[in-house]
Amino acid sequence: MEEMKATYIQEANELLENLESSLLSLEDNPNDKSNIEQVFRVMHTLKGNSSMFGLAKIAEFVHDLETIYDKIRQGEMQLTRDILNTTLASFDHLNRIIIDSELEDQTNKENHDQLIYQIHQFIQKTSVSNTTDDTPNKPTKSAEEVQFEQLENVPKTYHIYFEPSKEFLLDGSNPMILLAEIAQLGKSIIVPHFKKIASIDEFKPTSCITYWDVFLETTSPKSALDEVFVFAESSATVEITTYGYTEIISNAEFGEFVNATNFKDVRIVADELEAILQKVGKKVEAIVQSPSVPKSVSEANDAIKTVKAETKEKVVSSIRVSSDKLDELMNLVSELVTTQASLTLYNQKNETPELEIISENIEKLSRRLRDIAFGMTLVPINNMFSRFQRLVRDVSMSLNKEVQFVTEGGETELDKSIIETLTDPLMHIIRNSLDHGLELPEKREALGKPGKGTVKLKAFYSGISVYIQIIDDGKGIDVDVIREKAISKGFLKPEDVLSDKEIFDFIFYPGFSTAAVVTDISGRGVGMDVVKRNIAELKGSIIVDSKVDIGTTLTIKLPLSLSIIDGLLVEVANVFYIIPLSVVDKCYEVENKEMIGNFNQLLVLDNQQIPFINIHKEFEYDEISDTENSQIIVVSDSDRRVGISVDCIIGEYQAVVKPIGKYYRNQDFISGATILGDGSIALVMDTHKIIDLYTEHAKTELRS
Amino acid sequence: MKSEQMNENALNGETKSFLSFKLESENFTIPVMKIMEILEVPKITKVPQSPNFLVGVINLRGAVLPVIDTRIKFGMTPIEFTINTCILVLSIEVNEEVIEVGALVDSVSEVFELNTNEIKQTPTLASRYRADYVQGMIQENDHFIMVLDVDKVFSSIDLDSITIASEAKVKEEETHTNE
Repeated sequence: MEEMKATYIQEANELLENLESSLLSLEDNPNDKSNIEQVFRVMHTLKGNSSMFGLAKIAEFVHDLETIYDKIRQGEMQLTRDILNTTLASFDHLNRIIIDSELEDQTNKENHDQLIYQIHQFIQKTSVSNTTDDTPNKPTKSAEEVQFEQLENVPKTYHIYFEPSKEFLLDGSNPMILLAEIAQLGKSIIVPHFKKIASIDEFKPTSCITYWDVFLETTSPKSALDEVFVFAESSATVEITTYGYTEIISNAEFGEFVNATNFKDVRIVADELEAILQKVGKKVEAIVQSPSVPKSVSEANDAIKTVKAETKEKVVSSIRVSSDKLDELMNLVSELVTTQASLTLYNQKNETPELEIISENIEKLSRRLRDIAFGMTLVPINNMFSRFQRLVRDVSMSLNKEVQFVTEGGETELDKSIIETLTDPLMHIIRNSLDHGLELPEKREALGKPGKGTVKLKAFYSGISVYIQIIDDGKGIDVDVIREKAISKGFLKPEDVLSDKEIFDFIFYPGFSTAAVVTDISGRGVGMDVVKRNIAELKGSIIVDSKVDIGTTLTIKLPLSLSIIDGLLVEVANVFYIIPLSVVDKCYEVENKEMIGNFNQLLVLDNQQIPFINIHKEFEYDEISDTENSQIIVVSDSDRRVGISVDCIIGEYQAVVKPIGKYYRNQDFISGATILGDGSIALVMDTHKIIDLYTEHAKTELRS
Repeated sequence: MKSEQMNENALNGETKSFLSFKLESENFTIPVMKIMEILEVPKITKVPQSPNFLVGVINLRGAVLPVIDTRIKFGMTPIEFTINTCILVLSIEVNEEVIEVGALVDSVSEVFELNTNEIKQTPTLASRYRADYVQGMIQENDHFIMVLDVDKVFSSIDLDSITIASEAKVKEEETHTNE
């Protein structure tokens, strides 16, 4: 039971996340019918789940909330900002009470009652103004008809055409239950059709080939019918037409009509039905003021709600897999890749042609398997972006700033664990942008900028890395202010010459805040150092770029995944190293004497001067070994190209990167280790860190 | 026999298995529960610019295991590889996280059972080693065996050493490598 409950909570959280993003887009576009449908459906599922687990309080609460959206959906009510605010507040409340379903917490209880009161206010308001309220966002039906459909306690006849898709039975749906539910609503004739039944040879017991015409005479509103079919809509054609006649079902002539159509190979045509109803039925004089009920044939045709077209969502079929299983899969794939490397090595030693083919095939397969397994652990960054939408909304409201929040590249995929760790740092950065970055509307206008500030969140791929940028068009960061502050805090000597980039880097120092006013939201100077540390833990880096009055851009660079990379296997002083292939630009062979005693550490390669790092020297191995030549691997690191010298290049290698552990946390230029085919270990170089290290060495050498 | 029974009944007494090993000529012991396995010394890959006591990393059935030269850690000369040299794979707890680490020792001696009550407090003044690394000592025949607090000894990732005397030397080394 506990396990079930955990599943419930997980699912509820997902539903709520879904709900939030729909609500926020509704805010921008309140008339978007598909979004209202979406909100309604999510609430409905949540209600169902909650009552299944006996969480009556949640279920009731959601039910009330759902009522509002049902009314909006039916066009009886206009979505207002007040409703949205209440819904968002309810959403927050739901997030809390999912784990406190009995409302044991006193504040939860108070909130609960308060919100229920508000919700009821909305519902009552509409039922009073029901008849006068004209709905601006009309569906295909006229307002009167909608009202008629929704009238309770007025008898009417529905014609329901229900055709499940062939796969309907596969997910455990049972059409008979739905029909039984309908039959309970009133007097009905249910006519099954078997015309689609194929010959015995082609007959498949698992496919649903029966479809039905149902005539129902009831006083229930149409929403009652919709509710019956709410889960079937996606896999069945359901058409419901309302007619203002009664006393039809028991009429003999109508029975004959139904029988007759049943044996003809045609569907019941709306106008025929209309005609026979007119003949035999007793017209309902509805309370609706409009004289236009019943309607002409063509209008009735229009009224047929093509549920299928409207609500059938783009279905990406997916299954839920626990992340433990995915981790396990990744581990196995890693082991497979390692084993495959041993096979390749064995083959190289033994040169058996048959084995070579097999080994190459296995290599191809394992590479594909790796890519797929790896792809499964990636999730689109959008999930995280939508969470920020809410943050921006709330923070900007409390700051009285108008903000347009733009996201770009939400489809960019990142490892799930990376996304989880990234949420907090990003949230912090966005808060900073809103609080310190963007100016108040008046000030912005005085500067000739649009009053509404923009915060843009952008994600994109580049090679093996993912970049995430937070761009605002606020007041920017003044280099000189940071410089002064750094000097006054003793981080910097007045005579030091630094590039702007290096100066901006000071904002990541602990205890460094330039904000004059400390607010609730930010400015205490705790945070940016934590942000940097969190990102460094993910093997990422962060760079600031800013211009006064133009805005600030923070760029976060992250590895796509932490586990398997394509690399170049090289050897230095009998130790194997892996250089990520994504950064490798070109390889050159140079004579050792060109490097030894090279004062300015530059080599001319392809007529370009390229600085190089002598790994022998930097890693404190013995001076360059007795071979005459070294290999220079030119790697690109953001805007620079740097050569790295190694003794020899062995070849391409799929490296399963394993952590080398906390003991080596000071050797962060080694990002991990991998096991080679023969069981020995190769160390994975982090070229970015090596280049940084080298440039710092050079600096200290210059100073001393 | 009689005395053993008495010990078992003594307050908080508990019988545990211990493994004793040698570093140079000195005897040390740690609880067997902490030892995952004992390995022969495979090929060790040194990580560049790492402190001396970190010998390197080895391949332990597909996982990467850091290996520590226990002798350097205890302020002795670096280990000399002989046929008896072996690696104890230890499972230790650092900041509520369990990690595995290999410890190079000169030789392993024996596994024996011991009641924890028999562990005697070390007189702090007499000790060459930092008091918080040593749980106590036991007397066997005519010599003493140091009982180590494995979690503390091997979780000290920083460059501190176990002996008080060699600390300054290591500090010097640290500044050197950071240059």
